[in-house]
Order: sequence, then C-alpha cells, then structure tokens
Amino acid sequence: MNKPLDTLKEMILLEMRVQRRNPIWMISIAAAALLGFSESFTAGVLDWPTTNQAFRAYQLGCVMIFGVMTFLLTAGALSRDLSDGRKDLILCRPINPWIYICGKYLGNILFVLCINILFMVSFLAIPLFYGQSSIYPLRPFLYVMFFSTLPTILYCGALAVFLMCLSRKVIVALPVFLVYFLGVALFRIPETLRGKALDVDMWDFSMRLYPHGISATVGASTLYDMSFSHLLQPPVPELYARAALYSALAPVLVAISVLLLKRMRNS
Amino acid sequence: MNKRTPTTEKVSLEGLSLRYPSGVQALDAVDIQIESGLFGLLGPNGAGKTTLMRILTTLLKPTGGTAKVFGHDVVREAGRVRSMLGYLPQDFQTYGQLKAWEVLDYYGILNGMTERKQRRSRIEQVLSLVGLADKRNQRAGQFSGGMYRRLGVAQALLTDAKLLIFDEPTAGLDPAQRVRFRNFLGELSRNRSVILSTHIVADIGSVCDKLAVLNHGRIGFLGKCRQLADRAKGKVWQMCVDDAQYEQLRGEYAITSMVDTDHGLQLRLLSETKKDAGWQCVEPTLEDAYLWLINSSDAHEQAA
Repeated sequence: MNKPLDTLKEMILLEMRVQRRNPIWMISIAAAALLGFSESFTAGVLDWPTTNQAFRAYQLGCVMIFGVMTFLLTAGALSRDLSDGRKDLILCRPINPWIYICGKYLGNILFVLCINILFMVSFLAIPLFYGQSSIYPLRPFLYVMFFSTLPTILYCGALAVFLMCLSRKVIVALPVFLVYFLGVALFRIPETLRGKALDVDMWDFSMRLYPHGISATVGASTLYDMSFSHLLQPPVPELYARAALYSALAPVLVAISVLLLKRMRNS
Repeated sequence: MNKRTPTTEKVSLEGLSLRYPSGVQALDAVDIQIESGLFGLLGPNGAGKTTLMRILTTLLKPTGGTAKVFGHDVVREAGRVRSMLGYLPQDFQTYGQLKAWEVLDYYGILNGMTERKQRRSRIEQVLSLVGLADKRNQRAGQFSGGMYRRLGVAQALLTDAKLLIFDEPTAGLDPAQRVRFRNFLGELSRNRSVILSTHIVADIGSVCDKLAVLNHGRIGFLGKCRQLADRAKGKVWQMCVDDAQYEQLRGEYAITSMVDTDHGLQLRLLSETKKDAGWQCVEPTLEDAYLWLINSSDAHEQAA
C-alpha cells in the first residue's frame, strides 16, 4: 500500500467533497451561465454552425469565469487552513507539505473540471432547445477544454496556492490576482483604440481554436459581432506558447508554495 | 522516580532556550521531565508557556538546549514527534460550515489515517468519548463554546496520541463546563502524558499532580501542587479592615482576595512577616502560593 498516494487521494476527495457546499462555485456558474446563455440565446445561435455565437458565449464564460472561480475556491480552501487561528493545527500534523499542497490544489482543479464538464454539456445541448435533432459536435468544445480552459485553471489555481502560501490572507491575495486578471483583460483596450485586433489571453485563444478545428468540415464561419472577426483566424503560435507557459508555470508555482509551507513550518 | 524512567517514556527538556530575532528571551534554560499523567504549566501571560508548547509541537525551533518527546528530538525528528502528539491550541478554530464528523475526517487525513473505514470508526469513538456522538451531523459553526472545545479535544485524540498538549483549554467555558472539562482531562491522562497550560490556577490544582511555574521564560517552580502550596506556608494572612486601612495595605502587599463582610473588608494578603496583631495566619491555597512565587520572582527580577 502506497501511503503517500493514499493520503493524496483522500485529500483530493475530501477537498472536492468540502467544495461541494461552497457558494462560490454556485455564484460563479450562475455568472458564467448568465454571460454565456444570454449571448448564445439572443443572437446567431440558429445559424449554427456558420455562426459561432453560442460557442463564443461558451468559451467566454468558461475561460474567464472559471479562471476566477478556480482562484477563489483554491484561495478560500487554503485561507481556511493557513489563517492565524488554524495554521498551527495544520503545521503540527505529520502530513508531508507536498501531499498537503498537491491535495488542496488537485482537489480544487478536479472540482472545477467537473463543473466545467457540466457547463459544457449544457452548451452542447443548446440545439435541442431549438428543435434540432443533434447536439453541437463535442470536439471543438474539447479543444477549448484541453488547450485553453485547462491551462487557465491550472495556472489560476497554482497562483492562488502561491499567493496564499505567501500572504496567508485572501484579502491580500485576491486584489493581487484581480489586478493581474484585469490587467490582462484591459491590455487590449489601448491596442483596440489604435485599430489593432489583439488577442486577450486564454479566452480569445479558445475562440480561435474553434473555427480552426471546425472549418475543415463545415467551411468558413462567422460571428454575430464581426468586430471580433480576427478571432476567426487560426490561433497564432504565440497563443499556443502562452498555453504551454501557463501549464508549465503551474507546477513551478506549486513547488515554490511547498517550499514556502516548509519554511512556515520550520520558522 | 525520574531516574528510573527511561528517556523514551517521557518528555524531556534540557536547557531549552528560545530567543526571538527581536531579542526577547522567551525561554531561558528550561529543564523539565514530564512523565505519564497530567502535568500543569502555570504562568502569567507572556511567561513563555505558549512558546514552550509551540516548541514541543515542532512549530518553533529552540535556539538552545534540547527537547525530546519520548526519545525523539523535536528538531531532528520532527516528523516522528508530530505523529505522536495531539494538540489543542489556545484559540482553536475550525471549519464552521463542516459537520462535526467531517471536521474530524479532515484532521484524520492530515494525520495520515488513510484507511477510510478505520478513520471513520475512530471518529465515532472519539465523538463518543467527548460526548458529541449525537451531534456528529451538526455543523461546527452551530456548536456552543463548550461543544466547540470538545470538538477541539476530539481532533487531538484522533490518533490515540501518546502526548496531548492543551493550551488554555478552559478559556471561555462557563463554570460547569470547566469542571466537566477538567474531569475529562483527568480521565484522558490515565494512559498518556497530558500537558495542560493555563493561567487559571484552580484548573491545575484540581487535576494535576505535578506542575511547573514559568515566569519570564524561566522555571520558577517544578514539583507537586502540594509542595508549591507549602512554599507559602506562614506567608498568607487574613484580617478585617476598614476602607482607609485597605487603601494603605493595597499599596504595600499583594492582596489575593477581598470580601465585603458585615465586619468590614475581609482581606487575604501575602507577607513574609506578621505586621499587625489582628492578622491571622491561614493555610495557603495553590493560588496564594502561585501569586507568592510570581511576586517574589518579579521582585527579584526588578532588583536584578
């Protein structure tokens, strides 16, 4: 029996069980649904598959909201343990810091992925509401999940673990994250004003993935709002690189967090 | 008796010191041997009790001396020490949104209890032990102060720890809860070492056989409760005084109790000698002796 792996498995399962009752994911998914469904049902959905509006709505909700949700859930889970009143109870346990941090991190990542699958299924079924006999094809949605959503939540979760191990307070970690997150989003504004169409982080990457994946079978596609028409172009290599960077940065941040926890324990 | 007990069966502190980077000497050459049973740790706020317990729980590294828990050094074998102890910190806080059994399940996993069946069965045992079996499905956030404390004790008992460390466990409990809790601690100490840190003397006097008094990071007394009380023999006086006399005495002596009676104010004070014919020597309590010790220690510190 491999005890560290058993402990890790139990930690992950427990974390997922604890998060089930966390209102943050319910609020987040409501926001994602509001953002996604409102757009998908109001415009362009009936023109599927030549109009990508439903898909764009899905990936917006998916990558943007799920990134924030992962951060909030993971940071909350660590803040419960590392706050001043509870820190000692955790640090005097015989659990290995690697298992503790990885259990917390993976538990939250898997939990968000489970919700993401439910979210995806709800979008796949949109054509059924319009009397069509088939659902959206799964592959483009899976592209988004593996190439865009997964790197985003891996990175946001790792960032939460790192910032919490560094500051031990959500009140410090959250503004830092929001500054980063808004910074990435708002980066586009001055460029757009200068007439440049610029990709915004992972969510635009996920948008580009879709037409690129689907054009071979259904031909050229459009967007209801053609001011985003650059997103119909195939993803540029820079975006693939960014996804790879996010995926690679996540384990590095987790490793640094483990070192921070060890340092906290051996103060 | 100490000499006959092997080091591997006791908690042993030798020349234990800790100086914080700020320069504050929190512990200064503390030597204590703790065997099976309930051991009390008394001292005023800031005496070094919590520092001592944080060293024993591997949360702080001493800057001098050694601390061994059943033969294992708290610095070099921190992992082994952690697996042998249960700890209830002063301000125990847990996850209010979780049910009682879920809180314990979480701490069980952190303690390395990976067999789910065994863990759940142990959780039921400790919940029964602390009298919370019928509250297993109630959220911790809905517990009263006493129940919350008992949940704290339950998490400390999960692994059947050989050493239990309780920091101010009766703080915030009402008198009836305190008495129940003290008796419970007495039961727990039958087959393990329990260190009880508090500044409530009555708690120590009613359950501990041996105690140490810490003041300014140093051991002021180490021995049995009775021996501590005996130290103040002939130094505790009782008298009835009027308000003017009280004002005068208040500035000169440490007054340990004051009761407003029909004959005036009945005072109990500490003094080396009898200063007035009306003073009556009385049997010292543990509290009198403790205050005597702390006052003399403080006076000595000031003189130094």
